[in-house]
Amino acid sequence: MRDPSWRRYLRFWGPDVGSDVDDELAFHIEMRVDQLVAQGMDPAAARVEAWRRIGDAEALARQCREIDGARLTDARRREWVHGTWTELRVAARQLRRYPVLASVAVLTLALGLGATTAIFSVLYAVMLRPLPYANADRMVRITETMRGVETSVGPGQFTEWLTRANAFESVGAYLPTTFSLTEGTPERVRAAFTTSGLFRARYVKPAVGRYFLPEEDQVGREHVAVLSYGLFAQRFAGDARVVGRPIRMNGETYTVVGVAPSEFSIATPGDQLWVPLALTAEHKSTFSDHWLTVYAKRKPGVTEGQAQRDMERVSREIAQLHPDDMVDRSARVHDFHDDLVADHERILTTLFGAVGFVLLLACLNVTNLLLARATARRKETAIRAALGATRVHIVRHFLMESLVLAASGAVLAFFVSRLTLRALLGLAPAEIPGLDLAGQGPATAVFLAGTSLAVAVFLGLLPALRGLRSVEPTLRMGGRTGGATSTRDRLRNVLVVSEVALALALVAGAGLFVQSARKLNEVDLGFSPNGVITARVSLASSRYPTPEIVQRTFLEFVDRLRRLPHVVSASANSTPPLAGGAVGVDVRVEGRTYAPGNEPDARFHIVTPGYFETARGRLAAGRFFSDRDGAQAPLVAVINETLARQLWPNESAIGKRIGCCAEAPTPWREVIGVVGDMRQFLRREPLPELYLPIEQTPPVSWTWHGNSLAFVVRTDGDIADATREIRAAIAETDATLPVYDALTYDERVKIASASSRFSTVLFTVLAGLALALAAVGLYGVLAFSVAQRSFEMGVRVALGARPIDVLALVTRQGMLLVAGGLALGFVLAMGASRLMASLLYRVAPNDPVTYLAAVVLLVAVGAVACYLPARRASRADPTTALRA
Amino acid sequence: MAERVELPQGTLETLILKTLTWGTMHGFGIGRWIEQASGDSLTIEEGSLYPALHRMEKRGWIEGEWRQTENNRRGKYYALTTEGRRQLKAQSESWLTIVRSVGRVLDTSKQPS
Repeated sequence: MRDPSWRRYLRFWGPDVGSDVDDELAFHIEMRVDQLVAQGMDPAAARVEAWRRIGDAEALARQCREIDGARLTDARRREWVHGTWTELRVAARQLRRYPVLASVAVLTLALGLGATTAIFSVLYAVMLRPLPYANADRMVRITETMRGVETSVGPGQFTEWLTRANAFESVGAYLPTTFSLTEGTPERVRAAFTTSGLFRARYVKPAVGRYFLPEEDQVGREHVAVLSYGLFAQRFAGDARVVGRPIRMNGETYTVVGVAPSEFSIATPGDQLWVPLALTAEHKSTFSDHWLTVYAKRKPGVTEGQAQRDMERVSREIAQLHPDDMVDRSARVHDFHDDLVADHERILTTLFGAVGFVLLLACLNVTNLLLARATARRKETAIRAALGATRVHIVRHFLMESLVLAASGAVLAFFVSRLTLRALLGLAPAEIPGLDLAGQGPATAVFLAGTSLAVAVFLGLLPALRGLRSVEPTLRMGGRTGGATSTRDRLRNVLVVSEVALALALVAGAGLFVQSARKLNEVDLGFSPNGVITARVSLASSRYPTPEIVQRTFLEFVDRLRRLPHVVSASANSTPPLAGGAVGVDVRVEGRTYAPGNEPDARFHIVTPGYFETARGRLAAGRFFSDRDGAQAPLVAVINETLARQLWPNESAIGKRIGCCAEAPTPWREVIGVVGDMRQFLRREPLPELYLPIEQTPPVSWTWHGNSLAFVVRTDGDIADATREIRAAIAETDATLPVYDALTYDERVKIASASSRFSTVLFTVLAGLALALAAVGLYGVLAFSVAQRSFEMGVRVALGARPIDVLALVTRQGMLLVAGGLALGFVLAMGASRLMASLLYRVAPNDPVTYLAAVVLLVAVGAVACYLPARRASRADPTTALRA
Repeated sequence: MAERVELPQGTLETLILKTLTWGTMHGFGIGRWIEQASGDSLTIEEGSLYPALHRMEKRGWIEGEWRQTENNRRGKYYALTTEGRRQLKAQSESWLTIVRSVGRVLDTSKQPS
């Protein structure tokens, strides 16, 4: 018989389920034996009988233990929850006793969390949000490549892909365009020609009606249209009866067959309607022109690598059939989603990294505050431990406090992030896809909650460990808060050094963006943008059937615009500067032959006489076009300096003869002038360019531009007045012509530099925030250390130290931290800035001037943060300090 | 000895609750008391008594506490909780209702119309 009496002491640490059950059954046996003996049974026989009655004692004990085990787990969990809740309330109450510390901490966290959440919601909307298509992960874009450089796809190649490629469920071609929708007030709508395969690849149910049928890809069947939900709602009042109705576009009749759902898009968002792409037999046998964008959907189970190899095989097969057209050509398969966000990925991840730095800084700062408090509360912690709080209890206590802080910060951060997001959206470049969805859906809230929780753990852990470690020495010291122990100071110093390092990295980053923005502002556009308006008009071929009529109409328009009261001069250009890429053409040079695929190429422009004068381009050599360069006059051309340098590096281009546009036999055109480079894209170096006068341009070039030209008009007065006059003047001639894409050059420059401005402003704000946080952190550590060392300072002063000595002592302590931080931050910034090299314009990521400026700024801010506590220390009155 | 009967499911718990209204008692005592109160027509098996006690403790109807007995043994005594009292009231009412209803049906001499 075991003696259980000692075991009751085990209960001190909690119930012991196993032995409790055994004891209870043993007690039962004893009682039964007593009873049986009392009835006259022999004690030994009674014991046997007692056990017999119980039966399988082991099974019974096991059953009871199982029940008890479940009960105790429940009870423990309840107790834990209750205890945690109590701790939570205690923590909230304690923080309320330190309102300044609590509000500084909560505010700091709210700023850090709010900014991070706002950037995250943009990042999520643009990059991580699942696309609204079934099997979006199998969507791809296929391009042709020419010596490894991607090009658009030829209609011939596309037609071959349809039958030869095995890796795809559906393949479709896409060609963006615009239509004049003449229902009521004429309106230019963004549209696209698409083959029916595209809708199959993107399949999401249409909102109303249907998508295109395969047979509608044929010439003669293609006069149908699918509306975007936006156009349907806005232009047709969301009336489903529009399906089946005819609409007039570009002077022709199309039947509406369906409406796409609201978030539907094929390439980038913004298409307002779609029309079938009907390739003619001639198109289908054209392998030398490349103007299609092709999207496809991989078959299930086919990897990207397999799809790529399949397309390479198809390209080799086509090359055997059309060797001349396929020199150095192959194809490349891209993931659709990666492709869509590729341009914006770098800027968004960089910003997210930067805002992550700020959040980390905020956390370090709050940790510093809490550490200071944990130090001040060593006595309290020691007493808790002495009264039986376990390590787990103490850690929980600190964690609850940081949880309260983080949770309050998170609530505030929610509003901060809303405000920040609104500011961000106002600033962000409009072309980022999916931006309008930022902040919607549960992802942002989940992110905020998760991040806040992580922050709470981060904040609580250091003070908690510190609290644990301080239990013993404090008790030994009898609870007296004496001189600072060196380890604690070291930890807080490490925090401050990290803060300075992070701040330096952010300030340097902001500096690089500011430099880059300045360089972008200084770019020589090659023309004088002030007071220039551009506005585009396109002449539907049903009403303006021949190139001669189109040319005459545009010249009449220019003439009319020239006579407007606010207009200084007027002209037209098929693709004016900063208004998107111009069409590329192969250039031939008289007397030279180039290997196939090696011809020089240039960007092609149709211009009216007076264009260069209106834009105020620089004449580098020869002359500009004049009215004499008419249809019957000798053929002439103007090229830009880049093309001139490329074709005739060591001689004058004037008088040389060139051809273009795949005309056969080549009509040679004499180069009569060289114009200084004008920027097609703000951030890209000038491209080689070729200009032809409007009356001499090859007829095919009108189809490249959809019979459209952009008027380039210089005004001397009010821009809005002038724009209104231009619209009125054009409506006077033909009221069905919409004037679209009307922008001033100030606006175009603003659009082109939007992404640079976006990163510059954001980085500057984040760097300012970081600087302030680091300064506060540095100040806090020094002020605390000065307060703790007031006794020591008193002794020093009593022994003859002058105020300036004390000042130097404290300042040196602070500046040593700053120096450490700068060294660390320099390494960090050098590493991190390399990642944003592609976002910078003509600034090296290790630009020494920027780094020097950042270091100077941080030293200055650091000096101020050191000076304030140092001055206080130097004024210490030895008597007060020593008596305290 | 009187005729032995099997206890219907769940009845044991009601009887335990009733027993404990007289005061705290250990498992052996509870079993003995029920047997005696039934005039020894009920036998309480240890194999069902102890699991029932532990189950009821888990539900919070009774509470166990270790105590010294008169002859200096340590036994686990069970006491009724407030929730236990409530359970007893509800269970005995429904039990009596069943007994009365079943009895009335068995006793009836009228043929159903």
